[in-house]
Amino acid sequence: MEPFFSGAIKRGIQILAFLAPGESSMRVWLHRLRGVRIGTQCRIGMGTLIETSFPEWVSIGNHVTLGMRTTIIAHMVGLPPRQHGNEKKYTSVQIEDDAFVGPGVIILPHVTIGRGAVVMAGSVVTRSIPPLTMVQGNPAKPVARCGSALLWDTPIKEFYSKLRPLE
Amino acid sequence: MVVSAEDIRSLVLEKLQPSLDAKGLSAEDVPDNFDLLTEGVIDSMGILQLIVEVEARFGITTDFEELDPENLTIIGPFCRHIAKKSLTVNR
Repeated sequence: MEPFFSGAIKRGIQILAFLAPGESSMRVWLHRLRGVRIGTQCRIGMGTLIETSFPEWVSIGNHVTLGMRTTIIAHMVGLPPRQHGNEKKYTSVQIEDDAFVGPGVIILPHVTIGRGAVVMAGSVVTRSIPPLTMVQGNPAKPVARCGSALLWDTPIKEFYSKLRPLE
Repeated sequence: MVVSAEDIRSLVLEKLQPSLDAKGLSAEDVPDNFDLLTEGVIDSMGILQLIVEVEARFGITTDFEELDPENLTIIGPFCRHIAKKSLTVNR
């Protein structure tokens, strides 16, 4: 069971991170302080919720963008962590390098978002996503293969021009 | 199959008619430099659907490597690029 005070502190910092400015600085720092594992040069949009109870179960790679109001849920009621006694090292949600998560996305437990994958706005990710794949919808399904990652400074039309629709 | 830029333009505008109607535009009002993305006529999914539609209707495979990405969502250059590609593929 989660200790009361550490749980309250994690939630307090989550509230700060939810509202704080600084998508690539303050917000990222606050989530790291809560225990979320975050790589370098990541951007976290305003209003993002990253696993309120077990933030250390979320791993985010380098150059990842999380759009505003993204919600990441890493634990599931009634399902204990897979590695008892080693919960700090347990990873439920993994977002690999260069992934792009659009605004309003909900990411559910036990999924990996592959390197350079793109999740379109408002999608609900219930299953893992292969690298360089664009997904959309509820539940999120692959709609295209990406020719390159959608990084913060990638012109959107250049990204679109390399997309290949999936049947 | 060899297709003309006009054929592609007709198909694109036919498919986008509901969005154009919503903006109060008719197919004849759409200029050559009309940017479908910035004018709010298509989104990311719309681009994918357009590509799928064009490929299915004309039996061609699109490839935008030689197109300036800035022109990808501008109706005139988009249609001319696909028409040019269809010529190359079928030569």
